Order: sequence, then C-alpha cells, then structure tokens
Amino acid sequence: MIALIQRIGFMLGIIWLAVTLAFFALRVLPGDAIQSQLVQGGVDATVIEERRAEQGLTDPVGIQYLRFLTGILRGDFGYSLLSREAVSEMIARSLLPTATLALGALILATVLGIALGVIGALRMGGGLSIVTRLLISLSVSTPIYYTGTLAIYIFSVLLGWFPSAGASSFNHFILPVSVLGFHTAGSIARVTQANVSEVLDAEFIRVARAKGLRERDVILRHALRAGLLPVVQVIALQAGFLLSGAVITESLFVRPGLGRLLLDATLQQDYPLVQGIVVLAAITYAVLNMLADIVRLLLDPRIRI
Amino acid sequence: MRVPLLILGVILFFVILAPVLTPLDPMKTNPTLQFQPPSGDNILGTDSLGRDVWTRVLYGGQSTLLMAIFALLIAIIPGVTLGLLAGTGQRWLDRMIGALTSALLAVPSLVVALVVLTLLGRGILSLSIAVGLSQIAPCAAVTRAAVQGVRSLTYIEAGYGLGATRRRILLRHILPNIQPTLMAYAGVVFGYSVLNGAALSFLGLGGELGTPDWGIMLAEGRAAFRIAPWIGIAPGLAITATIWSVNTLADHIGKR
Repeated sequence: MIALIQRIGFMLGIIWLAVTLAFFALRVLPGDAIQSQLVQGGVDATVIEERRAEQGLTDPVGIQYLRFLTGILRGDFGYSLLSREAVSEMIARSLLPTATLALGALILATVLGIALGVIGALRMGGGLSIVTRLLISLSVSTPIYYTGTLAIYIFSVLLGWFPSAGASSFNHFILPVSVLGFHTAGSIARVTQANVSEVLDAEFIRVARAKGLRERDVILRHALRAGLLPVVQVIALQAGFLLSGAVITESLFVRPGLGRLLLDATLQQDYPLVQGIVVLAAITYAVLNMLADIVRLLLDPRIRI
Repeated sequence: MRVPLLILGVILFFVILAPVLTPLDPMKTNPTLQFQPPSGDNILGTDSLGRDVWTRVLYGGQSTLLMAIFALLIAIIPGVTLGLLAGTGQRWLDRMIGALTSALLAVPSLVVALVVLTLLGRGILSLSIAVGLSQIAPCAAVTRAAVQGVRSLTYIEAGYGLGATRRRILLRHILPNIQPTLMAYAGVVFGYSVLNGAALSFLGLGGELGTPDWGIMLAEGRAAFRIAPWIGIAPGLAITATIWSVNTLADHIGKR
C-alpha cells in the first residue's frame, strides 16, 4: 500500500517536472502568438501591449507559472491566444479522433509486433521467416510518411478501396491506423524477438521439454510468459511516442486531431494551447507507465515495486 | 554481416565522392527541365525546379548522414553519462536522474524539436540538436538498465571486495561489459535520427530550403508523387538501406 502511494507520488512528480520543463522551454522563445499576429497585421505597439496584458503575458514569468500551475489544479488550462477559445474545449474536440487513431494503432502494433517477434525468435527458417525479418526491418527503417504515401497511392489512387483524406467514417480510419500501427510494431517486434529467443535457451524451457510437454505448450505457457515481460515496458514507451507519430499521420491523411493542433499551436507560439496538450501527454505517459508496472507485477510475482 | 557492410560502403563511397561522380550542381535550378523522367542526361530524372535528382541524392547524403552522426553524439554522450551515474551512483542520484529522464520522456518530442528549431534557426546543426535532445532520456534509461544488469555480478562484487575504487570498477569492468548493448542502441539512435530528421523535413521544419537532403527530397517527392514518382524513390531507398544496414551491423556487434 505504501509502495503504491509512493508510486503515485512519483508519477505526479514526473508530470509536474515535465509540465514545468515545457513551460520554461516555451518561455525561452522570443515573442508569442499575439505579438507575431498583430505585428504582421500592422497593429500599433500600444495596442499589442494592451492585448498581451489582457492575457497576462506581460506579468513576470514566475507569476505566469504560478497561475498556470494553480489553473491545472482547478482544471483550467486558460484560453488560446489566437482563437480566445478555452484550451480544454479545443483539446476535447480533437481528443477523440487522435485517441481512436492511437488506440487502434497501438492494438495493431502490439498484436503484429508480438506475432512477428515470436515468429522471428522461433528461427523456423523458410519463407515465413524471411517475410518476418523483412517486415520488421521495413517497420523500423522507413519514414512513416513514405509508407503512408505508398499506401495512399496503392489503396486510394490505384485500387480505390479507402479514402485518402478525412476522418468521417470507419473507412477513413483503416489506412492511418495501419500505417501508424505498422511503424510502431517494429520496435515491439525487435524487443519480443530478443527476449523470447533468450528465454528459449533457458534452463526451465529445457526442463519443460524434457518432461514431455508439447512444443506448443512449451512456447505458449512457459516461453511467452517470461519472454513478454520486458515487452510490456516497450509497449508503454511506444504509446508515449504515438502522439509524435500522430502529428505525421494526421498531416498525411488530413485528419483533424491533437497532433495537428499541437503542431499548429507550437508553430504559432500559442502557449496556453501547447501547455494544455503537454499536460495531457505527460499524464497519459505517466499513467501508461504505471499501468505497465502493474501488468508486469501480475505477470511476474517476483517483481516488487 | 557482409551485406550491410557492403551496402554502407557503397552508400558512403557515392556520398563522399559526390563532387567526383557528378558534374552537376545540386542547387542549380532549370525551369525548362521540370519533372523530367529518368533519361540519359538525368539518370534519375529531375525535380519540380528542374534540379538533377541523382546529383541531389549524392550530395543529400552528406547532410543527412552528418546530421544523424551529430544527433547521435548529442544523444549518446550526455545520455550514457547520466545512465552510468544513475546505475553506479548513490541511491538519491539514481532517483533524481530517473525522475528527470521520465519527465523528459513525458514531454512530446515535437515540442522539444520545435523550440530548438525556433531558437537556433534552420540548418544541419540545429536539426541534429532538435533530433538528438529528445534521445538523451531513452539513452540514459537503456544505459542505466544495462549497468544494473551487470552491477550485481560476482566479479564486480569481487572487485569491490579487493578494494578497487568506484571509478576503476566503472571504467575497467562495467563499461566494457555493457559496450555491446550500447553499440546496438547507438545503431537504433542513428536510425531514429535519420527518420525524425526526415519527419521534421516533411512538416516543413527541416534543413535550409533548397539544400539537398534525403529527408527534404523525400518530402518534395511526396508532394509530387502522382506526377513524378521518381523524385522520392531514390532518397527513400537510400534512407531505408542506410538505417537497415546500420541497425543490422549494430545488432551484430551487440550479440558478439
């Protein structure tokens, strides 16, 4: 129980540190959204200062930071500097398309990654083994938008099976999820392959075989349980990277979502919006990693957190 | 083992000897030669500004590979140092570095990259910093895990028992033992750097406009994919072949 409270405390600490780092990193940049927008529009300097003061951008950084932190605790992420809309509402609107994309991709990546990794580890040889190795290599060594472009060309332009842009139906969902999932699968497959093949050489596998278990049971009941333990951690880490992957995938397939929102907000220096997304990303990351620890605990009773 | 070495050798040969192998200027535009398909004059065709694709692939490798090597150094040097400190130091130091790396991992890498690129402007060096910075934390985590794997082995404890200093054990016993893991991971970081650099180019944030770079070329090729597919194919293949070879070599070193 004490360990659990410690773990949650650590998690909150991580979120605070990540959010703080992002806050000050953004403040190092010269200028902000209002300034660049109004200067380009040829607005008078005093008007710019007024608008900035309105949003609290002229206050000392320390005050802005405290206001930001207390805002988070109240669930208030402030207002976009450009659209003046509540950040929480803007995020809420983009959350669903990105969450479905990320979740779909993560499920595909987990299934595909573990399957490829296990097939690779069994060293069966033959055609299947070559295809597996090829897929893993392509997954980790090809830029995501290269495969994405090819996929659009083949499945949308040539075959006309799936639409290439938008997010309005299930059909719009297939290509982006496949592309993002395929590129997330490679790392999972590599770690699975390394661990399962190491476990297959272990003493207890030889014992299981020696006592006459069928090969299928040896692999499924003994090798996988031990070999997949480190994979859980990798899956959690990959889940954290999915937001970066979503930025590319959403641009490529012209989907609305958090990735696009983050990209635009950062480019335009719309600080409250970027901070809001960073808070969300940090919470997701920390929670996923805590879940991974719990899953590992369930898989391996020897681990104590 | 021979195949990846051969591929890397061929790529390096072409990239380094670019000025000898092609008489053309990678930056020179030619409005009359836009989107020419591959021919005798332009083996790989020309791009949207009439520049020779083959020439740009050769020169582009220089900036892409340099960028990835810089990014690798920027990630590995602090990352490994932090990981070694965390793995061998006091408990509080381990906790502190652990918290710091977790926090860094929790910040979306795109935000880090955009902040760096806005501050430093475009160019090879700022691109490699933008790409390398977000790899420091994973490097530290991998190093720390590797150190912990060997730390409790008998010969390390024997070393302490014989009165060796922390520093000596770290440099003479731990470091050589985790070297294969680090080498294999360096290959992974190199691959990520090329891919992430290309991703930033795709978003329009890569190196200076006009300079040849595989990532930028691939992004340009994507924009013209339907009318001139030859623009993106060569840099795409070059990226995939390079990363595959480096990863395979690194894995091989890691297993030895």
